[in-house]
Amino acid sequence: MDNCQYCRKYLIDYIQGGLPQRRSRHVGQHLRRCDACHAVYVQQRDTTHTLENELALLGKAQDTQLEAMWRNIAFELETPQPQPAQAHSWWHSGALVALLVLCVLPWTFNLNQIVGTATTYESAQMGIPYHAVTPNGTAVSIAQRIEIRREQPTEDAAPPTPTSTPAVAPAPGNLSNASQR
Amino acid sequence: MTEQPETLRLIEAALRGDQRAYADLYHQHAAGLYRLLYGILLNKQDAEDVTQEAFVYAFKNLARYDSRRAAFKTWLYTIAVSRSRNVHRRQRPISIDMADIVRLKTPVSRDQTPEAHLTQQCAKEAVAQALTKLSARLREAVVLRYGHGLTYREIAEVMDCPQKTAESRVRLAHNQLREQLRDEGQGLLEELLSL
Repeated sequence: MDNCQYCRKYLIDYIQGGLPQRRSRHVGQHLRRCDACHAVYVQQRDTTHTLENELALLGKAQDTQLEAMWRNIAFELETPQPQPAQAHSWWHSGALVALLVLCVLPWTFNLNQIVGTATTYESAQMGIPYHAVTPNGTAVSIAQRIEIRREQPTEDAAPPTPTSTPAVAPAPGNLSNASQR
Repeated sequence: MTEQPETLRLIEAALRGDQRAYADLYHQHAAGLYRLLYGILLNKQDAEDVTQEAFVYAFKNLARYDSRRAAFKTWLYTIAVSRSRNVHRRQRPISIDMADIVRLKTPVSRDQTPEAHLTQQCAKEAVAQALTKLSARLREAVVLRYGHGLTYREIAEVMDCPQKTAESRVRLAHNQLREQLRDEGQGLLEELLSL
């Protein structure tokens, strides 16, 4: 059984003459003794011959076909290919413009205004009075702000209106503190 | 691995810009490369497309070819097989174009009887049909081995796999083809006997 496995493993190489002499002799001796392996050998040999004969002819090209292919290849080789730099120049320009826009954006808009507007809107939505920040950084309600201004000896006695007060976003912690007050 | 002096001379001339050398290199290898690709892809149009792609790529990258590492034919086959795998990836299941097989029919020679000619033609069709049932890798291995007589080492280079893998693929493909051709062969024999 082991000999059969050994023999069949090397059968194709044996048929094609690709085995070392010693191994080839072993396979040959086994084939003379074993009818089952000999039957497989005959089949393998016929298949090998069929494949060698038929695959050599399969897909044989005609001269006109080869000439037509050569014309296409020659045309392709003569056509100048776009350089990588040219091909990607559009993308490079686009990326550069986007980068510039990102750099200039913080200077173009007043960030405080944007955030303040949002806070005003959110405060109105939630029914909370507008908030402002005192010079020491504490968020206070508008009413408290008026009280502070009244207590201070200022020349301008007119009370600030909500629209004229610069609304600045309070930090979430400060907002809750201010509401509690 | 030693390259033939004639091929080396053509490659050097092509690298110097000699257009005629490109044409000569093409005519030296085109028929073999097309036959290889037809055997793998089993479709005339695909085989033509990949042949052209492979030559264009090879000629544009001719300076990269190293004659000490592989023969020019092996290098060209490596490019072609690699490109044919792209076709496999985007392709439907292979169905052989029998019109191509019929077109390849050889004329009846004077020594050959019509029956013998018919048997030969049937064998050709049976082989082509059996090839369609193999996986792409096994088909590559068997076509390189039997259709082009490459050694296992060369097959391993072209298929980019270890030599042992190339050997086992050839063996596996051979066994599968033997099973299929045996079944076909019995049918053909019965058909021929009933004539």
